[in-house]
Amino acid sequence: MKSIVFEKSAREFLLSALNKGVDTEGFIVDKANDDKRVPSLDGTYITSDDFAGIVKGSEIYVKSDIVSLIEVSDRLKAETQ
Amino acid sequence: MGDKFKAFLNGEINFPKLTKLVDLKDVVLKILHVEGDGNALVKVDNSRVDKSINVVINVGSKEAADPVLLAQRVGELVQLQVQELERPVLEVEASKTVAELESPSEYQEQIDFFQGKIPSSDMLILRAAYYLRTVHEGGKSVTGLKRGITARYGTRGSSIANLCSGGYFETYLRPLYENLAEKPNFTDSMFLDNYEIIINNAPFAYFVNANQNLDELINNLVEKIVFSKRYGQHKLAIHAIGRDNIDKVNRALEDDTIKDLISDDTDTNKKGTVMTVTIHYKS
Repeated sequence: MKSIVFEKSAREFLLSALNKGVDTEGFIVDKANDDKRVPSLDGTYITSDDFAGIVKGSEIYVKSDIVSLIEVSDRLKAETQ
Repeated sequence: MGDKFKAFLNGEINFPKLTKLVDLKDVVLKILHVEGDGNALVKVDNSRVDKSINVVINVGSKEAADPVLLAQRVGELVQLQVQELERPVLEVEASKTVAELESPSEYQEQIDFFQGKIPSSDMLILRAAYYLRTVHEGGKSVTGLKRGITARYGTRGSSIANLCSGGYFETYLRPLYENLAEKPNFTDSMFLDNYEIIINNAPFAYFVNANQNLDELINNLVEKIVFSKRYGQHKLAIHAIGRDNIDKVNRALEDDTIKDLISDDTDTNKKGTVMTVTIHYKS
C-alpha cells in the first residue's frame, strides 16, 4: 500500500494487534517475549502515550518527539537514495 | 474494494489474497477507532484528489465479525507494510511531520553551514530547533515540540532551541566561526570552545521560562548580568514569549535590584506575544 497511518484513537488497538501490551508504568512490552519492554529508535524504552509508529527492522518503535521523527525522515531519505 | 477489505478483516478472504490487497499501490489506509452504531468497518473514498484511494478501517465498528480476528488481520497488514514493503506505519500527525521533514528546511543553508562544525548530536537538535522555529513562525504552538527536545536532550536541547529561535545561530555563532576561520592559526577547537560557553551559558541572552515566578526571574537576571559582565558583555537580550512572560519581564525591569545594575537605554522590540528587551549594563 502507498501508506498506512493510524489515528491516536487506534493506538491501543494497533499495539494489541502487534501482540504488544503496556506495563504498569505505561511502557510498551512484547507479550511474545516475556513482557520485555520494547526499545525505540534511540534505544530507550517507549511509553504507549509516546508511541508514534513503527519502522522496518526488528520492529523498531518510534517516539513522537521531533528528533525521533527527523531520524525517521533521514531513514526514509537514505532508503530512497 | 471496500468489500474486499471487509471480507479480509472478517476472515472471508485468507492469506494468499492478502498480498494482492497490500499491492494496491495507490491505497492510503487509515486505521481509527470510533465506537457507536452505524460506523462502517471499511469506508472507501475514490475521489482520487491526489491519485490516492483513501480506505478507512474503523476498528471500533460493530461490523467486525470477531474482534480477535480483526486485530490479527490489522496486525498482518501492518507487519507486511513495515517488514516486506519496508515502509513505516505512523500516527497521522507524525506522518505529516515526517513528510514535511523530507523536504529541505527553509533554513537549510544555515543548517548545512553548521554540519561538521558542531558536535553531530547537536546537529540533530539544531535541525529540530529550526523546524520548531519554522512552525512557530507559522503561528502554531511549539510547546509540545520543545518539550520533546528538552525531554531527550535536557538543558542542552533547550538551550540550542532557545538560541536558534532567537536567531543567534545565524547572527552570532556563524559570524563567530567565520571570523575565527580567517585567523591563520585557526583550529576547530577555537570555535568549539566558544561554542560550548555559548550553548552552556549564553552570556548575551536570557530566555524567560514560563515555570519561574517573578522573584525567581529577578534573581536569575541578577545572576545572569553578573555572569555576563564577567564574559565582557555590555548588554543582555531578554527573550519572552507569551503574555505572562512579557508581563513578568516588564515587572522585573521595575525592580530596584535590577534597576541598580542597568542603564536607562533599554530597547524593546515587541511583535504580538513575542518580546525582546535589550538591557545595557551600568559601567
